[in-house]
Amino acid sequence: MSIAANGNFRQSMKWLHTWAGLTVAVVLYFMFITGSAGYFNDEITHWMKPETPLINSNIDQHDMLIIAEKRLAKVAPDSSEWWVDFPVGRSYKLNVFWKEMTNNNGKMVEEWKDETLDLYTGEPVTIRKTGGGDALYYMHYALYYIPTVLAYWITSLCAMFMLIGLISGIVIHKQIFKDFFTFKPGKKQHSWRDMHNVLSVLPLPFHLMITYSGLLFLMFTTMPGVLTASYGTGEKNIDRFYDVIYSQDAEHKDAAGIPAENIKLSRIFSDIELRWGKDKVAYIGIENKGDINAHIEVAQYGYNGLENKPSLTYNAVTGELQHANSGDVLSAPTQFYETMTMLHEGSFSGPLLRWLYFVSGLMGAAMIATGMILWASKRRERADKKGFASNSLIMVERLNVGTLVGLLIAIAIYFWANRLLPVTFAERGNWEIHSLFISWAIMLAYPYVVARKRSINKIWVDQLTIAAVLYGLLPLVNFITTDIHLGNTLFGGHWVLAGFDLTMLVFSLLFGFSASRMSRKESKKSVAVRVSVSTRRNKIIEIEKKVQPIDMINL
Amino acid sequence: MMNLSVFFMFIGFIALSLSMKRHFKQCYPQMRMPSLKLLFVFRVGGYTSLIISLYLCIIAQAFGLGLVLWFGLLTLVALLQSLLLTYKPQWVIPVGFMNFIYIFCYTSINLPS
Repeated sequence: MSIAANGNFRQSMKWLHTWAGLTVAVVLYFMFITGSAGYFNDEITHWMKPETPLINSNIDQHDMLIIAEKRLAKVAPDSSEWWVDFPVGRSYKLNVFWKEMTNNNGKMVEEWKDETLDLYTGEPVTIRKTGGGDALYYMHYALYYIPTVLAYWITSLCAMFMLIGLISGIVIHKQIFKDFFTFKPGKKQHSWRDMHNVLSVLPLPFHLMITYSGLLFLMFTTMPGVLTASYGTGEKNIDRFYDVIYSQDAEHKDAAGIPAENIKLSRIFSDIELRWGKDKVAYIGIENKGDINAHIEVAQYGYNGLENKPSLTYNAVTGELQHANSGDVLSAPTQFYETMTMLHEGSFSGPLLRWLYFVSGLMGAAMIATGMILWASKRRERADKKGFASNSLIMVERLNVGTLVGLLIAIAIYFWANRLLPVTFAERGNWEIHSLFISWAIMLAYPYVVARKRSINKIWVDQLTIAAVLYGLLPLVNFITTDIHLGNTLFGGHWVLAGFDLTMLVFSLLFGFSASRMSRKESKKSVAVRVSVSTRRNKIIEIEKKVQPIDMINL
Repeated sequence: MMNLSVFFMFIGFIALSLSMKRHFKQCYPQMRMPSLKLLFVFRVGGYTSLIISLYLCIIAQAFGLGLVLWFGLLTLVALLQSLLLTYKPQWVIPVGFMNFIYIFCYTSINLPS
């Protein structure tokens, strides 16, 4: 009895795995690809803002603060809040922010303004508008073109399906440890299954962590019931909850309305350096500026560890230290939530770990991709035995190419658009993203419209070749349109920018390699067909049927 | 310490793959099938090596970060090992020995001080 039950159980889990995965595969693939790119959001943004002045290490933070303060005093003397962001760690520019009251149809509205400063002249630089890497990162949970809340629901639902897929996948995998390293190439669907297994099992800790923490991220949208159960309904009670979760800073006094002279930010800087050492500050800012209750807020930069970052609060009138936060005063639930979300974002990672995150994310995308291809190749094998392929199978096969390779092409187009759209074009930030989605749509339509007569294998080769060319030429376009090309970045030691170009070249090589492997297979097959046609003419029709099947095994 | 951890990890995965008959055959095509006892030794050795690498990772970094880093590296090294087994199984044993030599040199230079 137990065997039969077991068999049934596994069968039903298999069904669940297949359909839970397949129904949301496209969205999940999109989330994994854009999310993986999001691990390098700052680096991508830097590349996409080529006008950003490059930082030389011989200027220390104290000098930068003097430059920033001078600029702020000039451009926003009456502002109530000033902030200065330092180029430290992954941050690559000296930025100043300030709050400005602007007149909007007779109503005074708070507005945030920011400028990036040139370290030599102290003047702001004009930087092209771009979505940057943050747009890709944002897309991976908020999608695009649809309302945010709806998008949160969609991505949460997909993450839920992903979790179901992972758990059911673990259940149906008979020999996780025995097949741990197993990959046998050149055996059609078996190879696809091996690849799917390897890509699922090896980064399994990552997959589970990323899916679960991804669900936690959006739980305030998807599970408001839990929140209202313990805190009650209404905006006020919800705010109470957010206070518990997020308030780690010391209580700050509100502005008293009594004007007072504030000290210069740079005056307390030596005290900060005494406490933390040189060049350790992430940002410094003053709140309620010009008031007797003004205070200065300083946060330390650091990516080492999962703990929170230390911060300091100074009185901006007297200059004395009000509060020093060592960084680890979180309640247990907050600690858990923070740890999970930080694990998801990898916000604490140094370069090595960031690359590991990126690679694991791409492996996740590849897991979904191989799952989609496996589904199609299984049915293709069955169809070939019958000698008849259903329309839905053909449709899915073609959809797979447009989805899997098409998205990669679209992201390349996003980078191209950043370089080629005119810098003065006001809507360029939006049009970069429009061009991403337009090119994806074209790639999805391509197998149906342009290449209806082409075999599925040829369509794979076509799109892979397009991807290889687009990624491969990107450093060249960069060379023609900007100064931050490989010639300057490699020899100037700007590894982040050089790394972007080099990574694009690596991607290009990978796509080119896959394309050439597949086209070699294709040509080998057509030679084989020609030979057999000449020897056995009576079987022409049967053979022609056999030319059709896809064979993308040795990708 | 981190690089030592990676090398121990690699050795661990090589030992674990040798403890499986299929992969043992890939690495030593001419050899007779080893006894189950030897396979068991490989398995224990493999897991021990992985645990050592975890320990090294954690003492090199903070506990949480070390754990995250270890899992990330685990994925990468396991991927490398499965690619090696698929495309260049004859390299597995030499690579394993190179790892041993590295660890030996590294520890003999660094530990006594």
